[in-house]
Amino acid sequence: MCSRPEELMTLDTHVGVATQAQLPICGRCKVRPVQFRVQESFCAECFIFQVCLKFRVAIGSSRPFEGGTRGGRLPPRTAAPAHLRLPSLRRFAVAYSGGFGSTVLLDMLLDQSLVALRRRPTDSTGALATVSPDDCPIGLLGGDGGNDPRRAVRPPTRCLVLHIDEHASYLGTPAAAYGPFAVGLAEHVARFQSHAVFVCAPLELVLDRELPCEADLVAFSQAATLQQWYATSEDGAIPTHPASSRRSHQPRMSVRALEALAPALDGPRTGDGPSAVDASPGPLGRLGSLRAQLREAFAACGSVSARDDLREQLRWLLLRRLSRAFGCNLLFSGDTKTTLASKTLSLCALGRGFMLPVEAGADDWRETDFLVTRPLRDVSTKEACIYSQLRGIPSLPASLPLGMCPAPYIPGQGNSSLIGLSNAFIARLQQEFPSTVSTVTATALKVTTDAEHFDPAAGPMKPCLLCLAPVPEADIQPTVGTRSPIGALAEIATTERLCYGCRTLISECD
Amino acid sequence: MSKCHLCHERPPALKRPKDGSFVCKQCFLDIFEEEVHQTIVSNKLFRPGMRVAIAASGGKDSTVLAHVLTRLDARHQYGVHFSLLSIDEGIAGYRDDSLAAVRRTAGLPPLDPLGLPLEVVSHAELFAGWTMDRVVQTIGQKGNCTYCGVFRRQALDRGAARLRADLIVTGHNADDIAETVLMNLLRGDIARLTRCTAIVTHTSGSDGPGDVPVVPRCKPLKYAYEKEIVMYAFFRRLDYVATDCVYSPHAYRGHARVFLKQLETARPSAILDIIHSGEALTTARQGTRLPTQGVCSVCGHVSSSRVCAACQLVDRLNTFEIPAVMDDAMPR
Repeated sequence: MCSRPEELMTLDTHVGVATQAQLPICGRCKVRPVQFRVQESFCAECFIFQVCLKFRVAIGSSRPFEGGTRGGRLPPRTAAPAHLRLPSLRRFAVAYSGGFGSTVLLDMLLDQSLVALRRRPTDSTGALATVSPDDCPIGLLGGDGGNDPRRAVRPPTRCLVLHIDEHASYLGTPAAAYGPFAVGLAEHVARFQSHAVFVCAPLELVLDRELPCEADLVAFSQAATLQQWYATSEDGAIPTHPASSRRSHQPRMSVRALEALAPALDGPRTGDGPSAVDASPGPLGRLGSLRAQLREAFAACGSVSARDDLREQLRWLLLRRLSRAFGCNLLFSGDTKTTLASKTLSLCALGRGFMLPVEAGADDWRETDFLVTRPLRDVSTKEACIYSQLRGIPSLPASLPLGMCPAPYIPGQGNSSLIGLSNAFIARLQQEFPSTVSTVTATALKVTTDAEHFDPAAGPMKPCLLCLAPVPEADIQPTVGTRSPIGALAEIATTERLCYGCRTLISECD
Repeated sequence: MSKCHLCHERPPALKRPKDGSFVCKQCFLDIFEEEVHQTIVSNKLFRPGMRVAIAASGGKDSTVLAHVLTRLDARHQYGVHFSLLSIDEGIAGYRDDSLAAVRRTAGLPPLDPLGLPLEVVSHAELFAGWTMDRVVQTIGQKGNCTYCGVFRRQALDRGAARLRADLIVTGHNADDIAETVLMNLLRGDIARLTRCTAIVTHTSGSDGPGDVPVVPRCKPLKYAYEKEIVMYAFFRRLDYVATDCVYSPHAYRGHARVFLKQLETARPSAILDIIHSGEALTTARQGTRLPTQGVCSVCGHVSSSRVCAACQLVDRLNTFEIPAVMDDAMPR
């Protein structure tokens, strides 16, 4: 879920307009007065330009598609693994949590007025330089066969803006509390309706082998429909099983947890097509029972850390499935430099360091025909927040129910998670040592593991059943099933296809 | 939970932080020693005839290490020759007490617990009289851990050379290694990050003037939790000094330590999970600049620059030029 970065608690986000006589001049344009300082001194326009520039440079360095060499003037991407097969951009999706990062990402990708920022504004009046309306930031993704990239990439269909509704995984959050937030997201994306289609997918859909078709899900995600659905949705009985922080002295597979997750683990992974419309209620009609199953799975988690980790894995599993099912082969993630720094620490703490270059790096290549990229990896959350204010984007995270944010560490209370602790630690350390975030993200980009050479089609590493991460041979251990499971569970219990992090996660389930 | 999970006979005396099992005192002692033995055997740390120097500071880790290795050697006949190696950094009120504890552990009169030979190497003797007290007096409270760490590492090599040791064993435990992984991530030290989880760290020998052979080091307590080491020392009634270094409060490592303790509270296995993650980060991306190993032109010790860090620091101290670049408090 989107984060509330603790560093913003102390950030003075007041951006006022100072008179020229009071403040020095912006070091970039040498025209307008400085309005605030974020590592450097900026006026508002130059700050927006600088953030957009970071975004464009990050996009340009990806170039994942064959022929995406800007007419041969730039070498192809050298860091892409050899097995990657992305011939062209079919359609792209944007993972939209409503946080500062993904909101800024959406704005940069879809707001055509930003196209005008291809040149640094130099006009003393602050007017932006005008450019051809055919220019599009998305064109930096690269083209097909070396054509002019500015015209080559114009998605034939509207891009997909995907939001995963996770409120059911927070056991104390009723649907009615989440409704205003989801409706706010739908209304915000409606501004870009000519370029984007908004999809709000409940997390419990990951448990169904069948996905709704795009038309059904888009209709479900309309603001009016969402408002009615959340207002009338019945939460049903919320499991009261006390979450125990005790771990059994012998790590074991929790059959109860596996039973709840089996459809997610055993469902089709590639080429999910739209479901056939038949007489039986589709996945949207089964949301009630799916939600109950999801809550059972999360109630079985033995700790807050396990719940946060499981939520993260299921979220990305659903994002990938939906993106692929609806014809996308590229997914943009709004992870900022700050969130990537926190993620670096939390991945290590969760035992997922093997995936560090993939999950906290520039791109995620774990699937050969599908790419997840992070174009805001050079933008801090603070910069994203200021950008949002300057661009007049409504502050959506403020409407998120409090119980859905990773809990910071409170001594004496057992409600802290590894992810929440990492967020709080990075924010605290960044205040004392301002280069911490930059250093940690740079470190994550410099180290590598065998995960980067993973080819699912070639051995010996095989993808983890839950997170699709490669499982190195050294991490394969016999799992212990408590009794003879049926169907998908037999496969899970005997093929040992869970990575170290997911095995630790499942073993924490009661 | 009325019976020990292992023997099912005696009542439990503690809950193991590592896996949450409830075990009695005897079973805990047995399984702790057995796990250290498995670490030694599976990583082939010892071979018959080796001379092994146990780096002993007088603290709980090195004291427990010395006792466990002595007991395991008697039980499994490793065929190695142990000796104790202690470094006197020259910190009044701290190192004096811990050195006295090491002497008692070694078996100097009037007690005779282990009967091991003891070699004490001091900073004053190796580094032109620069004890840590004198260093702190000169440079202040910030950045002194850099000096202590650099001097101590080289002092260990020199002491091991005097003992003609083939291997140095240190008492670094799982908490220390996890802290080091986190610290190297936070400071961007790629070179150390890719080797800090190795159970044996090799450094190549050297040829040249003032040649100092560099002895490999290993960490048999790599997977032992600090809490379990404390419990082992408590149950065995071992003699050690439990005070922190008087100059350590300002160390950057303190931030990583606090964070690690919070992680351990949230999930006890986080310490081993961090070590597992660190073991996966064994290579640097192509094109990343890493320091290359060479030999110091002054003392012959292994060095990543023309003059080793210890010689550089001594030179700076002697000329009273203390640059901010070696400030231990700031991440690089």
